[in-house]
Amino acid sequence: MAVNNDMFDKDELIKENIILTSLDTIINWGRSWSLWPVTFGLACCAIEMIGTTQSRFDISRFGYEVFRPSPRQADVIIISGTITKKMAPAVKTIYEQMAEPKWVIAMGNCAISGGPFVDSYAVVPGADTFMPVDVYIPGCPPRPEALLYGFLQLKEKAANPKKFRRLMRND
Amino acid sequence: MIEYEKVLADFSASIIDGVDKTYAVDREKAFQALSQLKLNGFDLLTNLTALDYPDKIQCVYFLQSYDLPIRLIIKVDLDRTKPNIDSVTSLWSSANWMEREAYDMFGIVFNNHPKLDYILIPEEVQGKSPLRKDFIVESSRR
Repeated sequence: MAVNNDMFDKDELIKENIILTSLDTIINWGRSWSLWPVTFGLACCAIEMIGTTQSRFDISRFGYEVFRPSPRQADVIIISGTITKKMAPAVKTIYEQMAEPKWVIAMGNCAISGGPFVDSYAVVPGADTFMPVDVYIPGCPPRPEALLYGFLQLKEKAANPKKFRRLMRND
Repeated sequence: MIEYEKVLADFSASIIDGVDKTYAVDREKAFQALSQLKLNGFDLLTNLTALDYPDKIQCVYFLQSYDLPIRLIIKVDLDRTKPNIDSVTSLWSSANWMEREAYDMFGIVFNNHPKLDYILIPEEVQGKSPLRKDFIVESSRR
């Protein structure tokens, strides 16, 4: 009997220990549950990011706790804080050193748009002016719960790459 | 009379604030006065910064000592159009980067500095002295 894939909800099938999938799907599913971030912080949001990794919020519940000291081993870069014009080339270099597939989380108002420092002569108005951003997490700084929610949104995106487009702000 | 007060009197420093021990020194005598103060126990330059006034740029030195329980503040008035003063890096090595920062932010030229180059500010505002009041901020707000 031929099984029509659309007739069954996948989660229902998993409960029955049946997996019907393509190789891509299961690779993306595996990726989405083990996103490794770069050990990289820019400002006060980085403190909140560190707090997220500690036992009270415990990012390792989701498998995202493996902060890698080398961008070549990482999947995600969390832009956690104000990007100054002096720092922007370094941020870009770290992003470019990461291996594909790679994702970017803009954490906090500064990384989204420059935040309270947007009128300064020294601040870049948002990470998406020079690199693609996948998830925006507003807040000043965002709560650890917000960062975790952002990670879960990114999980959806990583698991379903065809559903989401990536945009630069200028596009 | 305490030693440093004599030194300051020698260089005709005028007192600005007795509680905070703030003194004003002429630009020409500043380097000599500071080197004498160093010989009299002030072996630590904790801060070097500047202030912007409508008619002058004021260079401020914060001196402290490992032995005396005193903090001295020395203020030196500089010409606003072309501020320049002798570098004190030869006295306190900590002055090196602080003078470069003052050069960044206020455009003060420190004579005899080992490497007077921009240190903190991005290239677009180099030479524009962004901490001066007449600096026009060009916001990159979107």
